[in-house]
Amino acid sequence: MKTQFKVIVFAAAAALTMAGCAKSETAPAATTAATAASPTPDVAKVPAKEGSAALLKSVEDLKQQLDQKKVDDGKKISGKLDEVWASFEDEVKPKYPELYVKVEKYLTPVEAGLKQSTLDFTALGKLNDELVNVVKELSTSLEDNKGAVNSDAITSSKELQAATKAYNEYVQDQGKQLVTLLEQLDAAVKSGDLKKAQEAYVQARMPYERIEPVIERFAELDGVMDARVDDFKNEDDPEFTGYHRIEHILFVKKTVKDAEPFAARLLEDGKKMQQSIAATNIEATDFVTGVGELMEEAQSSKITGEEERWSGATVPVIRANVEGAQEIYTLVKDELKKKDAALDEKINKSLTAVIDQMNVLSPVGTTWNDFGKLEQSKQVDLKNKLEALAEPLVKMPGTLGQ
Amino acid sequence: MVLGDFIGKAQEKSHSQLPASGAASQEQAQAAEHVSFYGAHQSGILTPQQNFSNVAAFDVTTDDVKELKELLQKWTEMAALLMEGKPLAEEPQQAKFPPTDTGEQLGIASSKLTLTFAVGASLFEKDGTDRFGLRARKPAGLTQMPIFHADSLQDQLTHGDLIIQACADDPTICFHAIRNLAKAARGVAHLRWQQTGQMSIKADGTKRNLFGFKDGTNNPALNDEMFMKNNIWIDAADGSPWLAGGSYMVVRRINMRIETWDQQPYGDQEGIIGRQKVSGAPMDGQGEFEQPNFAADPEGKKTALDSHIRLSNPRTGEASERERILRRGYNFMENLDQVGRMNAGLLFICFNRNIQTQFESIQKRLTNPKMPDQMLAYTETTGGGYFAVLPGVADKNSYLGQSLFGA
Repeated sequence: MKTQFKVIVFAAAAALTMAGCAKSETAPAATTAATAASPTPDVAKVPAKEGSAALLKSVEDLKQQLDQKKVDDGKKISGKLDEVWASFEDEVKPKYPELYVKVEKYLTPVEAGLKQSTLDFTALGKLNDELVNVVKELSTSLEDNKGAVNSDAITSSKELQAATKAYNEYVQDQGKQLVTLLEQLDAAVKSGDLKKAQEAYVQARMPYERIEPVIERFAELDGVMDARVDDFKNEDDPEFTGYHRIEHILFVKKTVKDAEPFAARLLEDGKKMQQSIAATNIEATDFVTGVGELMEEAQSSKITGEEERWSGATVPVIRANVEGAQEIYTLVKDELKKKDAALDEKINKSLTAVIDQMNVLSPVGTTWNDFGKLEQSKQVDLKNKLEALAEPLVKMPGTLGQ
Repeated sequence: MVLGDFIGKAQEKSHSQLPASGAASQEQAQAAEHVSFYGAHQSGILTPQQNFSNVAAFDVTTDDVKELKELLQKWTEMAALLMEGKPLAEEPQQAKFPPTDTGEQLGIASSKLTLTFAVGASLFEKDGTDRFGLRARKPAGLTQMPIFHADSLQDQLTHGDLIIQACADDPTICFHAIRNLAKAARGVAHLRWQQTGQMSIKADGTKRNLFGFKDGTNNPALNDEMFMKNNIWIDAADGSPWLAGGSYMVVRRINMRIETWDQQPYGDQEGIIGRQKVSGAPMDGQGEFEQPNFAADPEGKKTALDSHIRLSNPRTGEASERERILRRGYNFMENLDQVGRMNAGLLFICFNRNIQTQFESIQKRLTNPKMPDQMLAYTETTGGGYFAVLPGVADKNSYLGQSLFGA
């Protein structure tokens, strides 16, 4: 969230400068961006199609005025644009994130430019032309309903609604398990028993990884709890906290004592995470698309062994990702079968293959086989099986939305 | 090769002279970009060598022969489309599914793409298991590539159940083909290794390898039908009737020790190869295409007995002729190896009718520990394999490997 906001401010400032508005300070642009990024809450919301039609009309009107170098009241127009955008931007954001960013990229500097005492018609004209194009693109996309997944089809299905409800319960349950297991990790660390602490560490990873797409909604907490050493100076950087700091202490330094403050902190953060989860509701569309994110996690950041580089517990964490995807699949399986039985069979078969393979590589339990010590051919085989599962699984959301 | 180059250049010229509105001639020009997928033999063997290649070997991960067959059927359909330069799905594709065709080739001409499909010995039998009930059909000549003297084969660069050679005049087109064929195979077959290669694009005459020498001077003419019949195409009488019209493909990923080679005196380099560097002429001749007279130099005073060309082809008349192969290799240049040396070399590819009496006879001379090819001190083969190129697909009602399955 934070990063995205910064990007918008920067883009706005850059666009103004590039367009030749050398006189205008960047400060007002930044302020406008701030307003745009957090829309006025009391603006009446309208359906996106309606909103984008209104916005298109406004920017086209503005184009005419700019072309004639005669703008009636820049400040007023600027406020109007902001209001129209605010009336439907919330709907655009999740559906067309790229277009959303594009609109903001041009809208923000246009609004800022309009508020200046002397208007730079050339620069404003260029920016507004871009804006017209983007809004046109947005209108067309909304018209064709070129969305990622047809959420209407999912929302209108009673069965899928029930599945969504069940998934929300699953997520809540994983949130609670997370706290319980982090308490156990904290206790194990305090007990001074290294082996117990190592086992508790991996156990406490599991609920986190099962609902990773939900966890990632809370980017700030996730960034603290699941940070990688690569983002810090070194393993001893005091800023480096969370799971992997504990992993380093337990598996490389092989001491328990040093892990105490970090385990306590992680438990506190875990409690906050659980509260955030408790306050969230997963929408039907987000629910099914989660499978893709989980499989992506397993196939890209985990399969190389990088993520659990010190503990070697790669198979358990991949298992958690797969379990999370399996949960989603199981909940919609009956519906999927009705729409595409062959796809369902493929998922079923490849899921069994992945699970069987994981059981061979590192059986379920409190201990695990170090991934780095497995033969390379076996690591490749697991990658192949994950790939084979992901291929049909990512077709599931689209199929359910038909 | 030279002729192919001229044709290529002539076509380019006529392209630019086309009037923009000449739809018919534009279509003609586009057709010239395509190599036909259908025929008695697969493409990419006699096709004049394109500038780029991407070779990908696969491990088959299913144990269901039906799935294997379906994969080859699917690849057949895809290959025909890809070589025609057609997208694998209509654009824009359905928004709610990942794309069927990945799309990086959009707007790029098909650039004479050829796809050549072949199978490895392990498809028929692996660890003593008859994986698909095809063991009885394994051609006797399709063995697993052995480790020759001085080879350092790496597991992740060697062998494979299936291999695809994609060649085109644009590297993106090669990559696109391999990527999409691999994507369609997931769950049934997965990439085992992959290697790209390239040729110098605007070279005059025979192209050079990274040692700086002309490579392919003595290659047979591609229109020499008699040669192809005798030395390249497998005949029904060779023992595996299902493979008639196919060929054997040998792939060797040969790393060149660039740094050490560059430390050798110019004269020594010529001596090691057995040819003059600039002209490509033999040591005892003037022109590139002159044949060396080894008989007149029995002690190897002009052309060393252990020079590369002398061991490769001792020119002993009929016996040497029977050994000759069709080479179709590419150079590769990649990032540095783990100790900072240039990771570059030759992606050696050749086609022949009988691996044992052709490629291996030559190779055994080159790697004979008693008198090895001098060049071996500067090369290290790290990967590759032996493969049987499937017969061509006659028409739309047939598919790759159909005869293998006995249909």
